[in-house]
Amino acid sequence: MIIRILLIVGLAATAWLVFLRRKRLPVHIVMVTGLLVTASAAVVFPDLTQAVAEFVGVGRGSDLVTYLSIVAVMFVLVHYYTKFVEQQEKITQLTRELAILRAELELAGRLPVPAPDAQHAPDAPDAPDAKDAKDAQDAKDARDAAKPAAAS
Amino acid sequence: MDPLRRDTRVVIAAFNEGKVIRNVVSEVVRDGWSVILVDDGSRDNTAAEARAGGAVVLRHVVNLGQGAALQTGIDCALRQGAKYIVTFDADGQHNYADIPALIAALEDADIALGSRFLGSVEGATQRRMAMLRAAVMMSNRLSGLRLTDAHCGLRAMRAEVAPKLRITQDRMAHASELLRKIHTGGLRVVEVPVTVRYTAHSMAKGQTGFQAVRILFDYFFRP
Repeated sequence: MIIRILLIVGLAATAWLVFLRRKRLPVHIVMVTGLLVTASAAVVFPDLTQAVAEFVGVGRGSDLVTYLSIVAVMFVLVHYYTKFVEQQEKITQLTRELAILRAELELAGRLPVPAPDAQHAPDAPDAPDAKDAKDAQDAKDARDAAKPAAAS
Repeated sequence: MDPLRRDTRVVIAAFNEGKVIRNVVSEVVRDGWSVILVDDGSRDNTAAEARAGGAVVLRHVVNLGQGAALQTGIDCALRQGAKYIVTFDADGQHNYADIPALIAALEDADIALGSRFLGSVEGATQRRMAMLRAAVMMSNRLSGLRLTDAHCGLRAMRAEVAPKLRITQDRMAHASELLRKIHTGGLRVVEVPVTVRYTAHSMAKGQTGFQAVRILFDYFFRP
């Protein structure tokens, strides 16, 4: 059957990807190999799943596979959500440290305080009104005035 | 400078508040307070305007949320050796004249929370008030405290208790988190009447009912 070939190819591709990442721990490789071998066995000998399903009390083999898949997907989702939250905490810590460090360096005179319009991103959502334009011009004048001093 | 003002840092978290932040900051600075402003990755000129108003500006290079910004400001205040830390909203809804009363309340408390229901509210719609009252009920249920107001951004705390009140909720659920930590940490809390003045600007920036769902999600599903 064509479906068997497709499934086996898919599993083999997964195995290939797993073993490409050589930095994985041996226990990961053993677990993934075990899973892939079990899955291949189920593809080649579908009656196996039927036997296991009857043993654990599920009517059909394909139902058993569905239930197990759903649990596996939920596990993976929670795992990655946890990772995601941890990642965000790290970004927060990094951003915080950077913000405080910069301000401390600026206060100590070790970093120049940004020019008034340096943080005006070009994609600022609201169009500058007349006052903003004047402020920007003032700031530019101030910087131009400061330039020769900085160059010397 | 009097010792109270010397030992206090007013922490303001701001995101895209370029239009109003200079006024908000300069009012507080003119009253003699040191302001630490955390620009939470704004896309406008918030940082420059706050600097012009006289604040020390910390800048998050990416937007993290109000909770994260406040904690950054609190960390900075602690590093500067502050004894009292005040949090203040960036949108101009608070009055700097309420700050001394909040700090005075720390005489026999660890943290003083502003209460607009003990004080007064200007410019709020009926709908807004109803939503706030619902939030107070909900928040008392969640935190185990009995307060007249929830989530008023104007507070003062002693520096010693700041580590116990570390904000880990980056976004808006930090207010509920704070109350829960006050309760579990067994801290002494008082409420102080404050005046909150809603303007068209602060109403536009304020929380909507839909965002409450997001806050509850954060509160329950983010450790």
